[in-house]
Amino acid sequence: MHRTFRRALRLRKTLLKLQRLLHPDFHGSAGEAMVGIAEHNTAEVNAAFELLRDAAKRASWIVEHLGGPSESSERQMPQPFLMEVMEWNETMEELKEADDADQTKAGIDELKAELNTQRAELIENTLDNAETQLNQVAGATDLATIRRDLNAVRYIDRALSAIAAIELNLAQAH
Amino acid sequence: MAFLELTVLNNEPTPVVGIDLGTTNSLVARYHEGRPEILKPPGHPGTVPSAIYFEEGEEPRVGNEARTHAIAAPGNAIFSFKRFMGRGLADVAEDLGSVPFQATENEHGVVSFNVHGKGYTPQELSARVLRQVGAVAGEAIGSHAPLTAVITVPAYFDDAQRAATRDAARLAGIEVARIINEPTAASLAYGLDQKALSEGKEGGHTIAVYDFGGGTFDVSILSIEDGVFRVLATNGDTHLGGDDLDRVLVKLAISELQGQLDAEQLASPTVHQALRLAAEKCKIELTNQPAGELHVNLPEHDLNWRREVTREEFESLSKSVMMRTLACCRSALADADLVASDIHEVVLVGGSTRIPAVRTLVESFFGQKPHTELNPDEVVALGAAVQAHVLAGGTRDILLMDVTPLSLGMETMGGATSKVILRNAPIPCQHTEGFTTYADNQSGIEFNIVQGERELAKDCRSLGKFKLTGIPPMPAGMPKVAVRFALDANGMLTVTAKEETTGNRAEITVEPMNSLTDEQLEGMLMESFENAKEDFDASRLAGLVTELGTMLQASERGLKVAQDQLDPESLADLEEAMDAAREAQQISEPERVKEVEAVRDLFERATLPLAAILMDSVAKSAMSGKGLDDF
Repeated sequence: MHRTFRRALRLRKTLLKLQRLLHPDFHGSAGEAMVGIAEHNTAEVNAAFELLRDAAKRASWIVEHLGGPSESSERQMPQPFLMEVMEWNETMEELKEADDADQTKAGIDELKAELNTQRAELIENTLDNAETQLNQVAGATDLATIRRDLNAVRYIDRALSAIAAIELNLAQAH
Repeated sequence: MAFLELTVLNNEPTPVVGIDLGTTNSLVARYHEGRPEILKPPGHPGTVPSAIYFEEGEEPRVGNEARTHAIAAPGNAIFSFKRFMGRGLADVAEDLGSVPFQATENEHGVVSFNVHGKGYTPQELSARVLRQVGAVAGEAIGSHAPLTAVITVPAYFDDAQRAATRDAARLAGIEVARIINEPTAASLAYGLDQKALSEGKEGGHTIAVYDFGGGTFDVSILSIEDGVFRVLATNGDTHLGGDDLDRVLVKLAISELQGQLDAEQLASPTVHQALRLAAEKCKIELTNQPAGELHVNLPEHDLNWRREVTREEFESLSKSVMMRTLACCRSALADADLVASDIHEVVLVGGSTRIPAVRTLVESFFGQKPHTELNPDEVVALGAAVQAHVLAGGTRDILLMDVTPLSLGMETMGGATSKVILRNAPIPCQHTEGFTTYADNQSGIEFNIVQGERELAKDCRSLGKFKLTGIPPMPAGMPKVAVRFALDANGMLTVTAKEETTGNRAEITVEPMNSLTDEQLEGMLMESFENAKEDFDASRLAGLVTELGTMLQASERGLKVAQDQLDPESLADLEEAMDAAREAQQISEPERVKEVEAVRDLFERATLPLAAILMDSVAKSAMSGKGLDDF
């Protein structure tokens, strides 16, 4: 965890340093051609930052970069994961219906914690697999499997934002 | 005239100012002697009310004069036109209901107000306000040179609204250095980067800007780190402001006046205007004292009505309006992946944040006292002046990195939206999406560009539709069409489409809906000059000549550094273009403006290879010795 934090900090510092040099704001007096290029470069750096700081996006990029299936061509999720999905969906429906605010809050917190733990494990594993593929190590997990795992991460993300919406509604109603 | 302008231009640097083009008031500021200041000519408050008054057969009156006249003859004054910028008639039905003037729509879907048989678009009205603002700035600085300005807009403004603001500035003869978001500007005004520095927070200093104005509400969450102001998330409502609080009091008055006025009287524009003014006055009283008075005096209806309103009563009536601002705050925090207690500092912006109940609400939500040291009406203009100073090359200590408030995407088959750029993506950004045909020998594809968060394209705002034609006959799925979305630092979108299989590079740029076309803009610009064509060309020529000067300086500087890296052909092209530019600088006949324009265009293309080399070396020096493992 500490390593992840330090990595994120270093990445952000690099972003800030790069943008200080490249950003169009600092090239305004150098003519439109320079501003145009500065704008393009800044956009590229912004995109790279988004990719590097988000492990799921990074793994997804690696899969596509190596010619693996895209999000739209491989839509399956791992079999065992599907069982858990059904359970979570049920819990979520119950939470939406529930009328006791305190109880709902406790249920939400529990589900969120579970999803976050699952996500952390899944993403660490998947990114590892993707990077192993990138380094062309023999016996690495195949790209379609990595894609399916990433689909599972995407499911969790959607579930988390659905929970956030329930929480938001709860807070607004208060 | 052309002669005079040239002399002025050559001797005086163009001032770069910050302008807050507000719903109720507009203000201008500049950076001077190490800090931003509001420009106030002697004996002038500096504020220009965003209102225009029309008297048959006379020149329209702008600002303070308009406000004074508006009270006497409500139908002849137009105000709050910022709410109509970049909008079609269908979008503004509700707004029109709350103002005492009428509107139609021109053929391009732009709202137009009719006064004494003539139509005025919100862009033209804003341009009149901006021209007045420019005059105030000129008088305060003692300069007559055309202005370059950073202009602010609500963070939640979409592409069409930003385009309308830029067009208004163009019509006013103001060069737009940048469009920036109001809450972001406000964060610059407080100099919080210095505070972040002194407190040495390694992980960044997090601030929330709560901007509750006359007509709009915005909240932005920023992180300040190493002098970089990075917006993490923004949220808002372009239809939530102090006006809604006035309306709460108007409603109260209407419900209690039922017995004294009939329905028809209550609905009349004069009565409505009187109620609105009484409500506004009462709201202001309530800000300064524990109770205010709603006083409606209408002798023609035999009515002189007074009603005391206490703070408690006002607060309970306006609770739902205020809670809506918190809903936006919660969404912004969620998007930034933060909770209220992560925020280190809170900044208040906008006249409505003077209301004690609003302050208490914000304080309890974020768990800390918000900043109120600066005048909440001035803070946006002050911040815009700081950004103007940065863009003019005055400092490299501050950098602003903003985000786009709304997702951008395209309508897909079946009417769903496919998002191409997500909300809160840092700008500038670009993204290319691939498309293909779904029928054999299909020769064209239609695209509908939309902005918004909803699932269905019809619930989002359509920015423009275009059709890419001339695709050669091919089986379905064969053609490769690349659609590129590019958001610039102003948060403004350019969409281009290209068919790539055949090398047939049909490229198309989308004209935004509810916007003025280039021809309409040019026509309006010409109208604003007395000797139409000649004066218009003269002023354009003056602008082009200045631009050539800047470009020449930049190229000379660049050549000094990188001449030896430039290939001989590009070097020869550039030198030729520079010679042509020097010659063109001497041209003073307005009718030769097209010629100068052609020289400028050629020059611009010729500088591209040099610019690429220069920027490349910047990027290389930044990345030197770095590999992927360093992250």
